[in-house]
Amino acid sequence: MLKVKGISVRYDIIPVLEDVSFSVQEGQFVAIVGSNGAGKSTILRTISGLVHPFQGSIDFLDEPIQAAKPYEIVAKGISHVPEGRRIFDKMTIRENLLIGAHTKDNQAEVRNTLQEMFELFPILKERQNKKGETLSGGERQQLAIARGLMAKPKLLMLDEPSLGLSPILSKKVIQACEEIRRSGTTILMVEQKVTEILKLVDQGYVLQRGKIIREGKGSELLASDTIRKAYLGL
Amino acid sequence: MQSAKQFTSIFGGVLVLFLVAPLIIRDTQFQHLMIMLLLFTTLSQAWNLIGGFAGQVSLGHAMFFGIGAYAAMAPLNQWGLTPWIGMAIGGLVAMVAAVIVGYPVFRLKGHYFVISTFAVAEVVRELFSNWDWVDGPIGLDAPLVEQGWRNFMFYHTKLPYHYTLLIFFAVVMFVAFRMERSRMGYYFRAIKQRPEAAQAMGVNITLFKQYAFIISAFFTAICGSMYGLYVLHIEPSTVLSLDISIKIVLIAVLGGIGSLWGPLLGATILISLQEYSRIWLGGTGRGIDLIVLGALIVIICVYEPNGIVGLIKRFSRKKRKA
Repeated sequence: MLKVKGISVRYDIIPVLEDVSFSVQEGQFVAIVGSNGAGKSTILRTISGLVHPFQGSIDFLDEPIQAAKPYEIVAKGISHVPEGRRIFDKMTIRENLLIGAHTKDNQAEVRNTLQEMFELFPILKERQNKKGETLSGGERQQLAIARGLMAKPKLLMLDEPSLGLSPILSKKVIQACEEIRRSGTTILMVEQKVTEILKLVDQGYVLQRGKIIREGKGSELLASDTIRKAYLGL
Repeated sequence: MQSAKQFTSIFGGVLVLFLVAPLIIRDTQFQHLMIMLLLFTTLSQAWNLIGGFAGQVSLGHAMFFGIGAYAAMAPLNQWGLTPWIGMAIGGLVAMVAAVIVGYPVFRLKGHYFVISTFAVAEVVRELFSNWDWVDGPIGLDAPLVEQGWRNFMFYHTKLPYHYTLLIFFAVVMFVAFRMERSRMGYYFRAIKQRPEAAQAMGVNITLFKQYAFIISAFFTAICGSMYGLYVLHIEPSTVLSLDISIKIVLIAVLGGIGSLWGPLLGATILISLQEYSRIWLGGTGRGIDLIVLGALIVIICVYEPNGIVGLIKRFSRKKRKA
């Protein structure tokens, strides 16, 4: 579904990603883990067209997208839930969700998706007419994910959805991700919480200083000595 | 956001006030004040579409204002062409200028965007100052032509200017009201709050900024045409000056950026200050309005960044709680 081949990205002259390659198959739950500053968010920003690689290629459903504009990429079926939630504070929850569906012209379909989101995240239904700024951290994250899902993406990219959340809320958000995956949406997630996430995913990649240093099934990575030493302190 | 019913009743009241006031108060100074009030409210509302709703603070709107003024005045002056055609041409030229200017400047963000709009407007002012066909820095005087609607010249009454501007004011207010509630309005708010998140949602932010800029430029040019035909003399240092750009922005800041009624409230204070300080103090009072306005802006920025509209909302919330 998604094939990233040898991409390198720089911010001005500072290299952030170097020769990064990985792939995501349809229906998979894939995670890229790594410490702060490893370049995880940049990978997602590059796929969604917010930054462009100076080298390498990105294919989505066998079409090159490395030079495409963000709105073209969303229209192709990739939704990006950015780091730090980034919801629209001055808009109501309902308006936030509807912005997510702006590529859809069929209003009946939009209404149905909205109902699905309200079922997945009941708190959003309760508070649909409240402004985004009134939500707590966990609710904001639920809104950000729901907003990303409103476009009915084929691939949902989540940037550290558990960042800044309490362990209980973090667990809730990750449970929601599992549910989304069960409904058939492919997920690519970047995370710092290595243990929790690697238990769930089909495939994991470890990013260190802009390079993929290891890949494998989640359980394999968790069992690896390198990972245990570097990330789990074991 | 104001409900449609609330907007219609306030809008209706304001329209009735502007319809009736110049018929009741025949004082020409007052009628002049009303005309300037309508002109600057319309201008500021046109700016509000890009600056307030979409959050792209342009300090270059004098460029569109000047284009409109020259487009109506120059063909009338040189060929005797009816200014209505000039006005339409001015609006179209301003839209094209907005596309040409918008393409590079919308790649810039924040302060860089603001400075670039100011710089482009200064370039346009220099161009007009050195253009012989429009008499360079001397500017153009309206020719002495037969008065009436064809030439849009009225020598004994201000009412036609007032009512024509009232129509433009109503159109711009209606456009702003519709835009605020439209899909485009949602996108503008999203772009203003979090441009990168809006982009990640698939909103083509450059395109929507361009739309706002084009619509805003069109109405600004129409106001420029009206201004030229009303004051009968235009020159680059008046219609293309930074003063005009800043005044348009200050009105919106004072009244409340991004609000429907902010431009009218801001213009009521600023234009009244400007006109009455000029009338009462003459040349000696030049600039006093700006000193008072400066103080007001400082107070507003410190206590209520949402302007007078924000203050009104705050007081009505307190009243409801009490």
